[in-house]
Amino acid sequence: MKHYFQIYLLLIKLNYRRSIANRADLFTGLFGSLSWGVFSIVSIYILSARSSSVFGWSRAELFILIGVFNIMVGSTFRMLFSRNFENFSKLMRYGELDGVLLKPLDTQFAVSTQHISLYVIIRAVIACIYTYIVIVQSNAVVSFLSFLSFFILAIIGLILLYACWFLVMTLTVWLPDIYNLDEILYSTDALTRYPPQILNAMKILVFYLFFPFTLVVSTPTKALLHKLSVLDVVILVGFACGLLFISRKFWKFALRYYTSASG
Amino acid sequence: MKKYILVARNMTIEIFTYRLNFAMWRARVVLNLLTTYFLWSSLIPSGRQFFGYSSSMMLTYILGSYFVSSFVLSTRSFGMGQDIIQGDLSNFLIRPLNYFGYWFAKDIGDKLMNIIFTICEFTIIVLILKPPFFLQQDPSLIFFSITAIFFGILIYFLFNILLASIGFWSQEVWAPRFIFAVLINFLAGNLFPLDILPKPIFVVFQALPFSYLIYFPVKVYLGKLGQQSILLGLSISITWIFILLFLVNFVWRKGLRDYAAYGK
Repeated sequence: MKHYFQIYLLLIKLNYRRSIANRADLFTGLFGSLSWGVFSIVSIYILSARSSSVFGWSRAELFILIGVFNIMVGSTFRMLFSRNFENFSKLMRYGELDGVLLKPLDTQFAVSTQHISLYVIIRAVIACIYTYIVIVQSNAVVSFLSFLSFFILAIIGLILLYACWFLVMTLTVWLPDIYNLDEILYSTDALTRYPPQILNAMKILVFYLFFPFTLVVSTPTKALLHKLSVLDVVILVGFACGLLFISRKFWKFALRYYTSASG
Repeated sequence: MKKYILVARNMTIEIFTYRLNFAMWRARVVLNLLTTYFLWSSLIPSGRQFFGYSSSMMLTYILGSYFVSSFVLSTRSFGMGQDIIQGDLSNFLIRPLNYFGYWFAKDIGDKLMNIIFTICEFTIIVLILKPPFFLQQDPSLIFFSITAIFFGILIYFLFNILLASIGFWSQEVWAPRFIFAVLINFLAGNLFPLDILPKPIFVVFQALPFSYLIYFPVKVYLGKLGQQSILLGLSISITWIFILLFLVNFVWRKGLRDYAAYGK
């Protein structure tokens, strides 16, 4: 474990140097990320402009939800994992996974952690400030306990999102020519910024497949708002543990079918 | 002309070669549409209005913008930037082929495929959800709407050339494209009609070229604009086309002077 921690620290340093070397990339990436964040907030303001509540959530609660979305998904997940998942099809198509398999490291760890988009930290800071402001404006009382439960559930939520992405992206082992599988997941991620009740509005049964996505942000937000029930926690933890376990098993299984670039 | 038709035809064949990628792209578009559609349908109960839009009007707008965006926003011309960066542009400069014409033909091929798929998806959605959809009967409005879509296609294509031109001076052509895509989603009215925004913001948006990509053609189709507004909108579109043409001409000439055909 300590070994992996040291490697991760080294990866952070390497990614920092890469960011500094590619400054133009850094600024445009940051601007794109911030624009997306602003856009997500503005759309919630517009959607809730004429309603006091949407899907059982008050307007103020929705603003907090979108703030948490920007902290968790828009910043943390994008910073730690997104670039790595985007890289999956390249790893499979060009046989670059060969090099990863030869390393004395867990392959899942290696393919999931190579790229860290450090510039997204700025979006995270802005998202935290925004969330703090909307919490203060809505007069919501955040106790130490609710903050602690939010923090723990946010980590579990991120694990759940990671597991969903990893499970789907593992399919690139069989389908290396699909270079845009991640785009579907980016669209599905958009569901995390709405309450789970949005699925009831979607009158198509297949949308319930996306149920785990709607838990990622809403459950930690409920902890902040003192709306959390034991069932919410059980469902989130259950899905996170279950899907992480399945994704790991699926990855190990898929590796047996990896045929390198010429396969 | 024959060679450009061939380029467009080759584009459709290329799409069928990588059909799974295209299917993924379409799945993403449909997923986005359904999310937006259901969101609005649950936000505006029947019998109530949202910024002057009834539920059926808003849903028609959302479906209309989905339809128009598959005409206007489907493109392959992002490949121009890579051509410049990798030095492949040199191959085209010595051929008896207009480089922009080549990419426009590719875009046409791509748009054709997107339109075919959009019609199929649209039919399935209509059969399953039975959404309220307004079928325009007035031929003059249909004509103006098609004209507005054509102008939108030109504006978007010219923007794509400008973005690709960044490749003459920087390796970073992807990030500006991403930012542009983010902004377009919002400024073109892809997710909601722009006239629900506060009036001063809406007036500014009307002066910008982005609203003429999706918002304006959809509103013309829906018959929500008077003849004067339609003509004014079309005039602004043409003005922007000329401004962008001038900019493209200027930037491209300057870029070609600095072009060093890296990698070749």
